[in-house]
Amino acid sequence: MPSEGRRLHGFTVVSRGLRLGRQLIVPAILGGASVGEGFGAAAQWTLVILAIPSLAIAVAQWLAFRYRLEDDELIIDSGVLSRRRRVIPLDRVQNVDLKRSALERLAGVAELRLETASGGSDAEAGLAVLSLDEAHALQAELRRRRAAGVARASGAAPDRPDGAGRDAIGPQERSVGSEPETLLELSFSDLAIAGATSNEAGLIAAGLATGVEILDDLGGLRQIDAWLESVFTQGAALGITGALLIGTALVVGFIILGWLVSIVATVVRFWGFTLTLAGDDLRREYGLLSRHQSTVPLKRVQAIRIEQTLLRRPLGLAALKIETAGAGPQQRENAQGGGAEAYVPITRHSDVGRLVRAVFPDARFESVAMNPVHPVSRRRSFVRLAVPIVLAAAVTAWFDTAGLAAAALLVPAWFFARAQYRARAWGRIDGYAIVRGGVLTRTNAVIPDRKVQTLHLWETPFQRRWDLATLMIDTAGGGSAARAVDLHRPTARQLLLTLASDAEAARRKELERRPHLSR
Amino acid sequence: MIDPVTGGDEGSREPELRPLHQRAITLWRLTTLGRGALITAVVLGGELAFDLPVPTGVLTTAAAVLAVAAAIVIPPARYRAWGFALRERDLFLRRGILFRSTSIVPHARIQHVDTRHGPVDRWLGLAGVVVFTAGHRGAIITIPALEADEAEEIRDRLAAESGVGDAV
Repeated sequence: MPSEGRRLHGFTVVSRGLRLGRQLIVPAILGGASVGEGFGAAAQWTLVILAIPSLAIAVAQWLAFRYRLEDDELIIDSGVLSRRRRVIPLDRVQNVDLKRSALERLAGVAELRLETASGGSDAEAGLAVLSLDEAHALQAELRRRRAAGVARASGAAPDRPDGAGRDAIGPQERSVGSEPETLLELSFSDLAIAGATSNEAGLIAAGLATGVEILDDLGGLRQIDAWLESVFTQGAALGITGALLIGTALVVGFIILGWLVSIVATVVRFWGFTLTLAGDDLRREYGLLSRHQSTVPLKRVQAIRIEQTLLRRPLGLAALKIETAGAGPQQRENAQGGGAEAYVPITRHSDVGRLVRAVFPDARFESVAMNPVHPVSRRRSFVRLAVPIVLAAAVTAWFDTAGLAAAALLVPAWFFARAQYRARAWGRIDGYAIVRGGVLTRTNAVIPDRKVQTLHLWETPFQRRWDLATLMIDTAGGGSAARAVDLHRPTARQLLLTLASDAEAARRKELERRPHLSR
Repeated sequence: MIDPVTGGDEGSREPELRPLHQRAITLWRLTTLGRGALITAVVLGGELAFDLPVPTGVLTTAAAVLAVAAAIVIPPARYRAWGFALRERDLFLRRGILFRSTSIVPHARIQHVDTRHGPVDRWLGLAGVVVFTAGHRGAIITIPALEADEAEEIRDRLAAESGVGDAV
């Protein structure tokens, strides 16, 4: 196979080397330090020596890697020993992401990633790294060729008789040359509020506490250790109340720290967030240190999730996840930044409608009436919580009658079950299904009929007893499937059949309207 | 509760379901026994290797009895719970004894269709049909234990109906 095409930027080798360093040398130093002098030093040297051939391989891989654009395809040749050629048809591309880490920005280079719907574990085509000019040129070229390909495939689109119908399709058919429209810009304070109101703050606090503990175990924080010990002995000297006070103070301290970290992390990550609509593409740009630029073709959006955490609900704030196909499970785990979900960290609830409509222009949310799930759902939720609580109380009471106090948890459990029941609802408007749920994070999933992949109805033995069923709507989107939990079974069965036939009809209609999609 | 299909708008009614092939019961009995034998062997090994408070042989016998009981009871129930229908515009399936699930795969969403012949399937003259969609949860759906010819016919039919496009 002849090697034609262009090579990646030479910085590729440097960044590969630095990543190796992170993976091998840093653990070597940390591990070596914790194991002890003699053996630790030997382990360090082994890892350093292991890194040298890896670097050589990185150079060879860089030399072997070639890419080129040919007609409507991106062709990538790679591999030192076994050569691999990957051909990516441009009209199958789901997302195009341009990412620049802080270091890459200093070096004037960028990573370009193309994703298709194949759902592999790595991006379909990762061009890391290109010079910035090259990356921008390629990005523009991809856009141009994709648009040209679409125009060609739709044939003589402008003088089709159903021209009026085309307007209803809205931005999906807008010409590419049209002026980009800014949908959302987030300021520093928006982002600070986003960080402060995310549910993650508590998690980060827990993470910090464990992190401190691990560092403590490694002997890395002797001073903190000594300080904690002195605090605890002082507390213990004051008796049980003193110890409790100190404990509470520490917990509160960690929570405040976690909160601050969450704020800073959100601000740094999503700094200067802008969401724009450019022709048929939705574009996001964000990041203080590493800068991201991602492009999602509107017609590839599978579903939108509107998420409201506990703290955001009273403030009238929400986050949006615009889901597209095209990322494996590993990516979905930490998909906050891009890939499977175009994430909008925060927006006013009053803006949500406008943003959703930018993506789904034909959705008529004014007419939506949300239907509650079956009231028995509350009882089922409560029983599910109550059984483990009662069991735990019984077991502890076996040892000490004070254990019965655990049964007091039944009260919050009842309120939680009620909240869960109230959160759950489903709605149907022309061409879309809406599923709501979640107590800590309330999620509204908006799913277009035309993107439904499969539909499922689940009935557990307990649900059958109370004539309930759970409806699951699966799309090719990055997030989890939408579930309408605990519907009345006859309703659920009818809904399953209706949705299936609507989904099929919508899909056929879309294929007739835009036959190039079927290629 | 809902009338079986009598014409009219087929999509909005629950269809009359086709069963799997009767030999599905035999197939599942054999696989259950096979799995049971494996577990019994592991239990036996454990009993021989460790000194347990119960007499040697009790746990092994219990495992063997459970495996045989499962092989007798579960497959017929599972067979009765299974049903599917090839409808005009989609594939409809129902399955599960305790945890029952009903699935619908619109034809336009099928990416590709396979037939699957395992060693035991082949010996019994059976085959399964596997339907792939581009979704994430419940995206791959299997109709097990059909007569081999029937499986091929269903595969070809589904593949032909799905030929309307695969872009997501």
